[in-house]
Amino acid sequence: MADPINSLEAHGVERSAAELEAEIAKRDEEILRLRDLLIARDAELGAVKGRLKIIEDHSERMSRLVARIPIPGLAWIASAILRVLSASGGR
Amino acid sequence: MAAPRFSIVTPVYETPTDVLWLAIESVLAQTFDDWELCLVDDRSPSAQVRELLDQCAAMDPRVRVEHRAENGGIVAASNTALAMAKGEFVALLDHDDRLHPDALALVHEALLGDPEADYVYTDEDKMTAKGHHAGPFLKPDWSPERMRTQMYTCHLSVLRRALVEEVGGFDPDCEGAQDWDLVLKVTERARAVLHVPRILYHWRGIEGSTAAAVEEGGGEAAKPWAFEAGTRAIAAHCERTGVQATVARDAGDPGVYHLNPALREEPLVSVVIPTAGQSREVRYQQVNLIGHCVRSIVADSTYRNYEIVVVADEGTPAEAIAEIEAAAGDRLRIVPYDRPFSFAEKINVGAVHSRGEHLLLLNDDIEVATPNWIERMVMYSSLDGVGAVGGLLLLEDGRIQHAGVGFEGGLPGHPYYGYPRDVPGYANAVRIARDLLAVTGACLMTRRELFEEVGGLSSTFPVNYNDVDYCLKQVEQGRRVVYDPDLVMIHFESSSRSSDVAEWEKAQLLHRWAGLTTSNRFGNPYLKNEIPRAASAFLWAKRRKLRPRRRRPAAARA
Repeated sequence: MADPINSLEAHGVERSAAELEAEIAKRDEEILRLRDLLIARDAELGAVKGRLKIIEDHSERMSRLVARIPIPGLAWIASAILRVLSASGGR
Repeated sequence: MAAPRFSIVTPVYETPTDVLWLAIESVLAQTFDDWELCLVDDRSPSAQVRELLDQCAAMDPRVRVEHRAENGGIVAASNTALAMAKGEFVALLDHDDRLHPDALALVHEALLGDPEADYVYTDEDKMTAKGHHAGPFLKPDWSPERMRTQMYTCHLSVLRRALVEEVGGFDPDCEGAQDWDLVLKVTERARAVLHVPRILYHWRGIEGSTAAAVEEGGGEAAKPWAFEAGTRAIAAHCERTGVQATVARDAGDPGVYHLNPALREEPLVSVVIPTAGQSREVRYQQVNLIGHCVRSIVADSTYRNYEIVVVADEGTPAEAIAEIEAAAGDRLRIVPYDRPFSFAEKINVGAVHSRGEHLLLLNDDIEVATPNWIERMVMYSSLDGVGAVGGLLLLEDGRIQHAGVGFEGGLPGHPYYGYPRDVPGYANAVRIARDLLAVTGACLMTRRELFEEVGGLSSTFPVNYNDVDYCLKQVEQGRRVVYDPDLVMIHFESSSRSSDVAEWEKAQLLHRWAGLTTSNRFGNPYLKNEIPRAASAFLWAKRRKLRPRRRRPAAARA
């Protein structure tokens, strides 16, 4: 996207210093608004990452338990069930 | 007849007779014989209850029953039962709960190991209406701070009778939280408190009981007065013990309480911050960390009497120094540091150049998120027996960075790292104040005299573990390390250096502290990373019947 200030200058449109300052202030405000939005999004993302960490830890514990089942066939069935459950939990 | 070792005290009111019988039977089935059961009927309307009690008394001379002439409530009935008790210790059993067959035997064994103990508590679980066991509460060893924000010792509680009488028994002003109040009063005077890490008490969740209500998350609705009584009990305890705080109930969980500082004076606090003057992006803006940290302290703290001692590396940019000078003015003292990096030494140098009664060690990548954070730390740090205080640190995106240091295999870690902030933790561990073996040095307060007594931070841990080592030195001296969940700070973690821990650092920590950390007394043998181990399920397994079961009395069969 073309920079409107530069393009105005390129077209020979003269603007007063006050107008430019107002424009800059408006843009700064917009930058701050977008920054706040990003920060809010980060917090939301943090909450989701946190929940995911809980699920991952739980899944890891279960996998460790399954690995300790001494009967190979039973361990395979248990780990298959676990995979299905984790997949549905992840959705 | 000689006084028995234990008097089991049980007030009874209109209990379903089958449930009451199971409670009494669990006492009759004890593998330890030297006990008496003091049952007090609080004028139950049902004749069957009275009949059952009399039949049980006829079965065994150790079962003693008293019928009150009028209904007086739980406190009056409990005090009547206490008056009947002749035992050296009193054990509290609710009329609908059950004891594990080995409960008294194991408590007796623990008491033989420490004859000075005046209070013993055990782990517990809950029983559903169908008698299934669930919700094991695997507790830490004695933690006075935790006891002020959560009645965690609860069941089974065994108290020295002489001390119970000395404090006047159950207090009618605390009806509903009378046991919490009693335990607080007894432990204030106790010579020693013991924890038996075994589930020896089964709390039954029958309709209307607190256990059932708590399980369903609606404890408040079941007994609202009980939670208000809890506030009164803690407030009175704070008054008696000199804790300068007011008490507030948690908005979400009725069983959780918070202490808010009400300091009578503000001693000088020295905030010691080591820095190299580094910059990084914080919330999409490039900032100088030390500048950001100092500005945040000055702008957001409500405490007035503090100084900031910045220990700055030689290469700290002049703009950073100018920034903190402008922000902190007269409060600031800059101490130049020209030796190779050592967090421990920088803190020690800062401490030497400070004047405060309390030292507050702070990383330069911290931001204040609790205006009364210094007050909170002083509230705990001023208490006798407290060696260090830390709080809840959050990452920039709000996830947990530190909620106390835990130990696995003798090495420290951060349980709940990366979890969402609102996670309560095992048995509300994140939400309540509690004692631990260590807290992070990223934000830690300690009294100067205690800091000097143990020689400050050990320079043998220049980069990692110097904070853990410091806390363990305090614990070794018999002091407590406190985690305060309401002291929340933001930690832009490891912005200034790598967080990798070298093998030699681990080996050195283990060499020095394995004795304390491998048997972490603020954990539980059946907890791993604050989660019940798979093996803990075996704690509920049905036991071999050691005694022939008693025939159920006629009144309990109806």
